[in-house]
Amino acid sequence: MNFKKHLQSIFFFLILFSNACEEGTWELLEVDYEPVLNVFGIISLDPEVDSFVRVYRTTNLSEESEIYVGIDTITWDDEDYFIDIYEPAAIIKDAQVSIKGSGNSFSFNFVPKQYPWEYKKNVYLDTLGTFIPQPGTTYLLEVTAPGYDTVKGELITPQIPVLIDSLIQDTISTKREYRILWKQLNEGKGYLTGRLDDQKVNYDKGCEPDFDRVVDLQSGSYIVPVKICEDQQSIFDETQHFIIQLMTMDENYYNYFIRGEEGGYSNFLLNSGTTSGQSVGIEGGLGIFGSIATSKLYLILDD
Amino acid sequence: MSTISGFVRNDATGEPISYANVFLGETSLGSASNIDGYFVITNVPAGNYQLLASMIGFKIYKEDIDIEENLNIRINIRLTQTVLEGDEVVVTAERQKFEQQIESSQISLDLREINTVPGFIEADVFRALQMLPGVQSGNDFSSALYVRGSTPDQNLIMLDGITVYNPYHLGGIFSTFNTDAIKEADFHAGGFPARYGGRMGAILNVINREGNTEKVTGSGNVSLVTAKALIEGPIPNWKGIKGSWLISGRRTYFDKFINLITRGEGQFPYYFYDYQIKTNIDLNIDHRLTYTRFYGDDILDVSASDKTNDEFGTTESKFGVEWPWGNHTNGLTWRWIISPNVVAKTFLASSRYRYDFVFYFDNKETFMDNDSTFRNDTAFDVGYHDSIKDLTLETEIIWKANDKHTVTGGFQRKDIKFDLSMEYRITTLDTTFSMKPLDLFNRTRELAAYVQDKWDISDKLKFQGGLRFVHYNLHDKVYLEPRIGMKYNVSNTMSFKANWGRYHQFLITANDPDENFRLVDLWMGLPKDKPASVSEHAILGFEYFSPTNILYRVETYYKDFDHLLSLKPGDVYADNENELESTPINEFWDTDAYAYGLELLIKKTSGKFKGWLGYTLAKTFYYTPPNGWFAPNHDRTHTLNLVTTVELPDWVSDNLEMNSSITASSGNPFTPIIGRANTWEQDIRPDINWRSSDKYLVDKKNSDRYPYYFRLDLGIKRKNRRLFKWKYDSYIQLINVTSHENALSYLHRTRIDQSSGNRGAVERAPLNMFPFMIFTGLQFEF
Repeated sequence: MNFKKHLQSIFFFLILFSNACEEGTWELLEVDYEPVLNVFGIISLDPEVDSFVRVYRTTNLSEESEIYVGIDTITWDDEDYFIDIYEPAAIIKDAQVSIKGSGNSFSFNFVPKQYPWEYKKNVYLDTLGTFIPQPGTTYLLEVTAPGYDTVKGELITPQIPVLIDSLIQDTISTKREYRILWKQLNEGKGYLTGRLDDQKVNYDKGCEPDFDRVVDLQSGSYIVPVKICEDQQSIFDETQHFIIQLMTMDENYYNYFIRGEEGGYSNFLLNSGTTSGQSVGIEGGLGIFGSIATSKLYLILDD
Repeated sequence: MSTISGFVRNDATGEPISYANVFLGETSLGSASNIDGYFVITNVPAGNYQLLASMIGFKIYKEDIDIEENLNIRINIRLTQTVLEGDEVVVTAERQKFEQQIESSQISLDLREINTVPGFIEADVFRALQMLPGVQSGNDFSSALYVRGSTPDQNLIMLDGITVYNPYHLGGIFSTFNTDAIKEADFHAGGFPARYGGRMGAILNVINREGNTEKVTGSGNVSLVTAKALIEGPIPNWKGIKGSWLISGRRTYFDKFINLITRGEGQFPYYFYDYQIKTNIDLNIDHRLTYTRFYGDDILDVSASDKTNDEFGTTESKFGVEWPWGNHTNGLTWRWIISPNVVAKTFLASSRYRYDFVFYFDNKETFMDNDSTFRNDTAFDVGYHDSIKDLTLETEIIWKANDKHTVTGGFQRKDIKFDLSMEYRITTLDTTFSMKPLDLFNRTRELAAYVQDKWDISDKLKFQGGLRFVHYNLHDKVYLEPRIGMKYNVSNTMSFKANWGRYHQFLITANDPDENFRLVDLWMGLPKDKPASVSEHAILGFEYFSPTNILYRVETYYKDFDHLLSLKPGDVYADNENELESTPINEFWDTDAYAYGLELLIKKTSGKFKGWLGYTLAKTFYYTPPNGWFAPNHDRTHTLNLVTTVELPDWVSDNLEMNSSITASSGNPFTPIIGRANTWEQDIRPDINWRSSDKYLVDKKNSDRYPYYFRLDLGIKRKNRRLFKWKYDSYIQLINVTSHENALSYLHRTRIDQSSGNRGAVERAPLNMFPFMIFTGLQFEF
């Protein structure tokens, strides 16, 4: 790019306005704040997804927030890329975590991460394999950790969705609309997604067949609209699998992950996102205690 | 009984003189000239009188007149300017306003007072208003007005009665009003009368001069950033039709300067200009037509291009930003003096504000392969568009029924088209894909009628009652706006005032309330499904006007707001559509608010030492469901302003004038970060995962304050110098003389331990506003 002709103007502009917004002296930010537990718990009725509880704490500004634990190597196009892996210093590894429901109590035990790429570890799991959650059931969470107030949570698990594959065409295309049907449920919202199983084709940005949609479970159907794209350049030989997934969720999950945090604070001068600290289905700390159930369908994606 | 009426004008220029005292000597009969210089003295018995007119800065006018029974006499008074102030009683405009006005919270600043305040680069009417009690700035970079808890979009800003929707240049650093053309800035901080509506905060009517009716004159001004020129003169008398005209213009010259010194190679991508035209035509003694035009635009135009050739082919790419924004207004006023006691004004105006932001990227590739040529063209552009087209028709009749009652009535029709949109477009050789995620268009109409009576109950007690009816088309409903004012004269130098009124507003700005910088206002009409925003003002005041022409004023106010709309920031889930849509403008909080305060003003407008001292104690609270009650970004508890102009004594210098302004105030509120917390987002690929983000944990909204604000500005003007036949003044302005660090916001950064690589420990530094700066310029007349 030829920036030479802009150099003089940039110079004069900087002379005129560079002093107009001066940086002051940097100082360590110290705040009198007492950390609390920050708990993320999911009860999953999907056999492919384990129920888990992550126990963190909030941290002070003066303490380290992340710990360097190692290097992750990613190979791309026959080249190795090295990524530093950090682990939150806020992880609580010695909490007592239990979920009660249907008259029983189930302990969740901490499973540590052995390798940096084990993103699903450093979490509390049902290591004994005795926790089999049921739909429409109330579950209570209790987390205690030394030095922190006890956190409690409550939810009612959703109904398990059923996609009706006999009424959906086996092969679909983004150039034609197609209908997805499920067994109607009395109430609640669902999250409907379409995803390529394994991306073998380079789709232009904005032209992928993927979609996300919040649906009313009472309606029982959704018509995926046509996507107007120019023809893809790459040609694939293998069959493209397209996965339709309908996820039902409890009210806590919906409010936290779908509605999101309202009244958020934004400031482009902060070099980080912000949160005012949500407690959804949680008392005594921050976080979310929610539940999901899913149903999947595998379709063939035509050109 | 007879009536004497006429106009009071400056003999040298023909400019009307407002608030001149016109009276019959040795009687109690008299009147003050209004904003147009027009005066009426009613119920004059037959006899011989001496007619006098006085105004500070002018020689007293005296004329012997003989009044016969039942006559309407038109006398046009020409006052001659004088430097010497004699022993005779001379009345200031301030004194007249003190005696005549019932409304509280009204201040008028003339051109001299506006120029008193040392400005950022040049004098600016908004920055002068920011020095008044009850008025605050958001920050040093903005000339926008925050008035008694109201935000800038709640103010009605007019130029010669025409609404101006985004009256700023360069993101608010300057107002769009060229001070050289200004006669007066009439400002109501609250409790404004029934003739004004459509806003809940304050009223500012910037009134331009009419133009010299005697000869062609001009002036110019060159500062570090802009060059201004003004020329005015008479319209030659033709069959009894005469008048005046005034043209003024201003432009930044940095782009031309860069282009010149780089011989066309350099580009400075930004400039602004504005120009104003005002023409008055007196068809006869009773009919006048006035045409006003104001055009002002900011243009940002940045582009860069690149071309590479190699053995495979050619690639040409270009990207740029085109961003024009500005106001165009036109207005035509017909003034008809139906009888000495009845004056009618009909006004037709159009005001258009628009901004068009386009970012574009264009890439053309040409490949050669053996004997074939392949082309790949891709173009991407994203555009934001906001426009308002306002067409207003207004009629007002002022009837001085008798000595006790002045009745004002009028009608207003305002048609506004709002268009706010965003568009993305991708174009290749054979396909165009476009998306318009935001497309808000509405057409609104406000029909208003009002009536008001100013009643002099007795010498001590005055009352002003008015009622305004407003019909808003999208609601198909009539809103009532009562306005009441009372004034009790304890003596001829002391009075108490009380005002109360209700005010509705049917348009809003959809800007993020947390933004540090606001480049432009995004206006939109109030949607059909949202209730009208409404405010009530209650004001109590006490005024004392000293024999040495110093005004002392104490006022306390309470303002209540309902159904304010605050933009919900970030991604918003639209409940009724089951869709997740990320658009910048689609949902609002229904916000309540209230504000109260105490203001003190001491103002001296005559003598070698002039200026004012203002102090404000104020609190404002807003409510939104997720945040509860909080102080908005513009809330400042204590504000002290001091503005002075000193003409140095002759033994020091006979042509030096010094100006100064001091502002000291509490810090604005901000939302502090208090810690860190992880949050989670779902990520479906197609398996369900959840990824974690480490974010700053913030405390309750706006629960902390920046350090106190302090700024001292000085100005020195050397007057009445000559270069050939041209008279000129040179000036130097020093901004933030003490270099006090006033924080706009805080920057934050995270320390990284170099040995372990651990990240943590947050540091912050204030991002300060204006440092010490020096500006200089020249003002000349011809």
